[in-house]
Amino acid sequence: MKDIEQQWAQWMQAAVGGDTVSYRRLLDALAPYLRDYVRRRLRAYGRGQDDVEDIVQEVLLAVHLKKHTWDGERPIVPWVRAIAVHKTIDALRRHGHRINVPIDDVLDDLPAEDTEPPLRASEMERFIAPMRGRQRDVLKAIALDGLTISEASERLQMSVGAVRVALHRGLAALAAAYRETDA
Amino acid sequence: MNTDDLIRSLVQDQETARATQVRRIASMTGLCGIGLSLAMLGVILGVRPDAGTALQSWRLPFKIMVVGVLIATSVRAYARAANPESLRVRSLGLLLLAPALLFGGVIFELLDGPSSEWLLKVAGKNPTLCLIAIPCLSIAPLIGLLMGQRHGAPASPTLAGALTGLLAGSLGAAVYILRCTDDSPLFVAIWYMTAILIVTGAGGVIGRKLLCW
Repeated sequence: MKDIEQQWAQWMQAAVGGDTVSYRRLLDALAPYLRDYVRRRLRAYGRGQDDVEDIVQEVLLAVHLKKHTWDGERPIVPWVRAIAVHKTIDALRRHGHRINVPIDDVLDDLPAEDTEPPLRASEMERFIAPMRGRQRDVLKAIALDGLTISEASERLQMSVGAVRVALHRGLAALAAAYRETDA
Repeated sequence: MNTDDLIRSLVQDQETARATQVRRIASMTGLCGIGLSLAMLGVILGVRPDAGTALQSWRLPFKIMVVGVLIATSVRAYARAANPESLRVRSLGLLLLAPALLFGGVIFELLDGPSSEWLLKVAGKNPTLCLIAIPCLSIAPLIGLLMGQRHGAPASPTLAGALTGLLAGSLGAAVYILRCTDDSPLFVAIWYMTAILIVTGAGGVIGRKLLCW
């Protein structure tokens, strides 16, 4: 666990400094870890596993938007777990469940070696449709159609700078949209 | 959307590579708030005329020190609150330092004159002004500091809001010191602390809604 902790911390430090390769590696490593962690959390709360992938994506989005709240001096795994717990509880509350948060986090936090693949794709797409024009178009192009920023700027006839801004605002709006839902 | 697509988008979103640290933003917006409060004080109330004589007693320096300690410990708690990991009790414990000092001052004051004067010292010259002015002078800092905290990811939005209110209240109190002519620790313990707690409570209520992430 300590090696992984150090590796992730290294990748995150690099990512915050602008290293996209390290950032990609970090997020790719976080996804299966989070999937496993959220599954076990839901099981511990006695809830079904339908929303696992949605929650995993919400956590990744939060990790991305709030990565500057990680204090580089402190361990990164507890920080990631804290976000995961927060978002899991949010998701469950949105569905109308009353959650009593256990005081101790008694769950083991070893990342799983083999994790089951996602059960189904998430519902994140349905939040994109009602968004404002530019943000919606950019998110569609980049997140759904898989374009790069330069490709998106060509297709949408926007400057690269404008695409970047719209992407960032779109992602922030996506996070906010989750908060407002009552499934 | 599958997770891989999301990850790809996140990696491309370099806008967040720029520092949006709570500290950085809160310093700017907080200072603006303080500046506004100082302007408010200057225009509406003005500075106390008897500062020179007042400084000769131990009370005014002591009052300044207590509020200063409160600000310092509140800043620390406010910054820690931006983290998704729950605040440790230790971090909050430090907040008791200012009240503890104040308590010491209260004891000293009670012993520093006849008991017949105690009630007079508690009542002071203008408690109503204090109760109104400190929250009013805290509004601009509160708004600025809340804006800063919105960039954080607090484990408890309510607690983070309350700590923001506490800091804003302390700053409002600090500005009010420039005008306030009531220096007795007895006065400060009742009226200043009540006013600051009002702002703290307001911060908690607002934070519950505003600081979700």
